Amino acid sequence: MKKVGVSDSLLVSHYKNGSEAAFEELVSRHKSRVFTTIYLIVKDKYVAEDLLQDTFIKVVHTVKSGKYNEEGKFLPWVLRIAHNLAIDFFRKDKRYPTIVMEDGSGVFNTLAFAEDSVESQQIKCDTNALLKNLVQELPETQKEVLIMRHYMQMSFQDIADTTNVSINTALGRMRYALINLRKKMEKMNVAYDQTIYRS
Amino acid sequence: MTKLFTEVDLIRYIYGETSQTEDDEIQNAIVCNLELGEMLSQLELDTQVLDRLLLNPSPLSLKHIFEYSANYSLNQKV
Repeated sequence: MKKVGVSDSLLVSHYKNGSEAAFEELVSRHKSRVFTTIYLIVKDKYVAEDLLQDTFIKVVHTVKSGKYNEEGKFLPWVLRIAHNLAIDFFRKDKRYPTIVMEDGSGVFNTLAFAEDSVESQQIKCDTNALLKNLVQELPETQKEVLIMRHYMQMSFQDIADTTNVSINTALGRMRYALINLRKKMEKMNVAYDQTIYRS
Repeated sequence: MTKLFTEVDLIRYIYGETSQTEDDEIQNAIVCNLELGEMLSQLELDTQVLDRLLLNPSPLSLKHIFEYSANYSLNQKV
């Protein structure tokens, strides 16, 4: 998925020079990937919303104070901040943040958000909601690799280094994550139109 | 003789972590090996499905972020 138009690097440059529009474009461009990465770790929408804000507050501070390192790519840097904040949240919190309702469902599935209540009603019924739950059910090591590779766009070598395993182990975990997800979807009789995803 | 490729090789290929040589070898292997082609299609589908999981934060969170940025210099103690 190649992005067309203005590069992140150029937008950061404009932002440094005072363009808030450039910053808004950067946030709009990457908000979903950053938010999803956080959410899949903390499993709580409201915590994820807070951590997303904390992430971009750090971004603003770093860029505007002239401390941003141009050598790295913008998105991996932001995702690394987001990931660290999410992990820090767990270290401080030391509890599983998902609130379980009386019927055993997660509180996330019972909420209608004021900003998009119509959409959230629909989401309850589509594959996305189910897929979220299926990802959450994966063993932690598999979910970790899946989040790092697919959403954080880290290389398998970087994942191996970060998680202190061999690259073959990281690759194996990714393979099992994909296979397990597929099996879970088949087991739950989730059908998806394969033509939707063909590029 | 065609080189044998595993699912792990195909995952590296899908995520762009194979060399140009490996890319060529995999593309050639797919032509000769229907099963490998099906395996690749399935893995591509598996990874593309994950893109459906992208979630959006609330507009209020974004508003806070943009306001923080716009007022950043005011927030700093001189």
